[in-house]
Formats: sequence, C-alpha cells, structure tokens
Amino acid sequence: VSSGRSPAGDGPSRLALWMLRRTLPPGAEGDSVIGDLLQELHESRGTRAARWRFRLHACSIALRYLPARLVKRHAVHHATHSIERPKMGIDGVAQDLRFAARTLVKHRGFSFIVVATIALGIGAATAIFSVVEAILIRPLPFAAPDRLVVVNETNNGRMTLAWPNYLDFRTRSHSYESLACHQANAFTVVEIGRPRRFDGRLVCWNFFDVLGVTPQLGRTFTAADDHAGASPVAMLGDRFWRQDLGADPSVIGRPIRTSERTLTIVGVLPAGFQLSRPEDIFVPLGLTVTPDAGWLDRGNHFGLFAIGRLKPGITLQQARDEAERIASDLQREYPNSNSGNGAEVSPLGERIVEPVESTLTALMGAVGFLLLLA
Amino acid sequence: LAILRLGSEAYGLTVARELEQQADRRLSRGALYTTLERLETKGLVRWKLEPVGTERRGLPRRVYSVTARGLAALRMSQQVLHRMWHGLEHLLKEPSS
Repeated sequence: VSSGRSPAGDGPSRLALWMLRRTLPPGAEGDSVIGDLLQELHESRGTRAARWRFRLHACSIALRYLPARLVKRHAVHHATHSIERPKMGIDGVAQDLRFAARTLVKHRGFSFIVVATIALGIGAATAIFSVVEAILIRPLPFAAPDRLVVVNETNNGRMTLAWPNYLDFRTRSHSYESLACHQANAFTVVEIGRPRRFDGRLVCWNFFDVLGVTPQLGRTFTAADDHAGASPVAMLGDRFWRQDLGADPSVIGRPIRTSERTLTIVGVLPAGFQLSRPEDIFVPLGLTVTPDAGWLDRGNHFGLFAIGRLKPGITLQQARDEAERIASDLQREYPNSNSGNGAEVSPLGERIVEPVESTLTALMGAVGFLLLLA
Repeated sequence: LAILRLGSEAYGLTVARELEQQADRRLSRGALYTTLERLETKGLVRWKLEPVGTERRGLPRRVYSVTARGLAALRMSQQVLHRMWHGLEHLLKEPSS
C-alpha cells in the first residue's frame, strides 16, 4: 500500500487497513486483496454503506487469514530460534495442540498404543494409589491415632507377651493413659444354621477404650466382664450383626452359642471398625485366663499383644526407653523365663501396614514408572 | 465456474460480484479469498498480476484462470451432478400454475 493514510471523509477505515496488512500475506497476494476492496469502495463512491461493507469485508478476511498467519509466524519462530526454548504463548500452544491432534488422527495405530498405554498407566496408578491411600496414608479410624502404640516382647526378634509380663508392663509403666492386651482368636458359632467359624479377638476389657471406639449398639466391656468365672459376654462386629443377625436392633442381651460357651451379646461395634482385618466376635480375654491353662507361666507366650495410648507429651522414644527398663528389670527378677527378653514399642499405624508396606510401595513405584512411560 | 464466465476479467472483486449475482446472496470475502487460495494450491486455478489504475491506489490485481486440471475437475463434477439428477426431474420440476 502506497500510503497508510486514508483520505478524510470517504476513505477506507485506517483500522481496517491496518488489520488487513497484519493478517494478509505480504507481497502481491495480500496487496491484490486490499486492492480489490479499495476498488469496490472507490466504485461505490465511498458512501457510508460502502465504508461499512469495507470494514465488514476486512473483518471477514482477517478472521480467515489470521490462523494461517499465526501458523506461519510459529513456524518461522521455530526455524529462526530452533536453539531457544519455544515460547509457550497461547498461539503456540494452540498450534501444538492442533498439530498433535492431526498427528494422532493420521497415525491411528500409534495413537491407539499411546492412548492404551496412558489409559493403562492412569488406571493402574489410580487403583494402586487408592489402595495405598487407604492403607498407608489415611489415618487409622481411631481417636488420636498417632498416640496409639503396640507393645510386645523381643528375644532375637519380635515375640508376643507372656500374660504375667503384660501385667507387669501395665502396672510399672507410666507412659500410657491406658494399656490393653488382645489376642487373635477364632470362634465357632453353632447356633446360626450349620456351625460356622468366625474371626474374632480376645481382648482386655479396656481394649476399645484405649482405641477410643464407641459401640453403635449396647456397651463395651467392663472390668467385671474380664475375669475367669465372669458371665461370658461378647461384642459383635458390624458385618456379623448385619449379615447374620439381620441388623436386629434388639440383639443386645441375646445369647449366642459357640463351641466353647454361650455368650451374651452386650454391644455391636461401629461399621468400619477393624484393627488389621475385619473381625466378627470380641470376647473378654479374662474369661480364658486360668492358672490351669498355663497363662500364669512367664515362659508361655500365647500370641498376646498390647495396645497402649501414650499420655499427651510422652514421646515414642520415652515409651521405648521405659519399656526396655521394665524388660531389664523382669530379666533380673525372672532369669529363668525372661533371660534375653527385651521390649518393643512401635506406632500402631506402622505395625498394621508393616506386612504390606513394602509390596504396596513397590507397586506404587512400578505404576508410577508406567505412568511416566505413558 | 465464475472464473470461466468472467474470462480475462476474473479477479477477486469481479468473481465475488459474479457469485453474488448468480447465487443472489452475500458472499463472505474471507471465504472467497481462502477458497481461491485452496483452488490454487490444488492446481485447479492459477493467477497472474495485472497493473491497475488509481482506483486501487496502485495495488495490483490477480487475474485468475482455470487450469486444465481445473477444467477436468469441473467436467467430472458436472457428470456426477448429471448422474445424480437423472431420474429426479419429475420430482424437482417446477409446479405448473
């Protein structure tokens, strides 16, 4: 264009001309288009309507040519600045996305493999992460779970507690608000249809208090329930109550017959409660602790673990030091049974995930790499 | 077709006017010029620059002509249209008043 200035009055819009020059290809191709518009305006004698048509045509042309112009600028930029990092402007991103979409459509086999790999990577990562989150990351469903610890004895490795040693730990330690013991046990219920075996746990009466668990029905155990000769009572897990007792709200007080004794149901635990796996029946440990069963022998370790709730302000290390001191004292006092016995105190959360932690971490790493590859 | 009809006078403005007159509707200039570019890319039309007068402020005009390949494409398009129309004349006949 020989002059960017337009004659006053009936001349073309300067803005429209500027827009055309910015969007049309340079040289004869662009000039000829502008020439056509100028000729049309000239032949219309520059009327107001003609000037508006000029603007309208300019907009229409600019809109059509703008994307092509951006592509060319992008290509020129890449060609002349190939060593530099490409600018991540909106136009560049849009062009890259368009180019990627075109490439994917053109190479369908490759695209399928890419999409399948990404889908597999995302799917596997999501699945594993949801397991990892539920097991390793999500806090335990107990009150103040970071203060819950597991106490056990050691002797060249982890060992469960002997009942008399547990009693000594309970009376001599000062690190815990409360300490309770428990032992995994299975119960054969003979009352409901054919005899069926249920996973459960023998627990000290304050076990649920230590964990801070409140039953959804009835009550938890009391000290009166937890000794030999006491009236046998039981608490049920939510699954057993719902699946086998039809979620009967009047189940409290109802007897349930096992192969060993008839238990009276005193409470139903809340849904979602589990220590390390779903369990259905909980019975006071004291019912089974009798001298004739060997419980009072310090050499007998019947699979007993203790759960303690640390007092506020007491650190794990302080609890560990105290447990070691008590274990040393017991070694001196009972050398025949306790020689070489130490004590271990570890966070409950760590102990629950311990068996699966390394597997889950490895799986998470594997799917992470798969996702990275995708 | 407009280029063929216009002969040596086929440049952007005249092509647009021809199409608007024949089709009796407004034509987007953006669509016109990009379509002409596409036809050129496909080798169906070509253009040459012609000098002009003051009404264009000295800006050249591109005069288009249809290439042999373009003519072949038009013939094929015409044949396809004929085949498609064949047998439908009675349906599309103007109703007699």
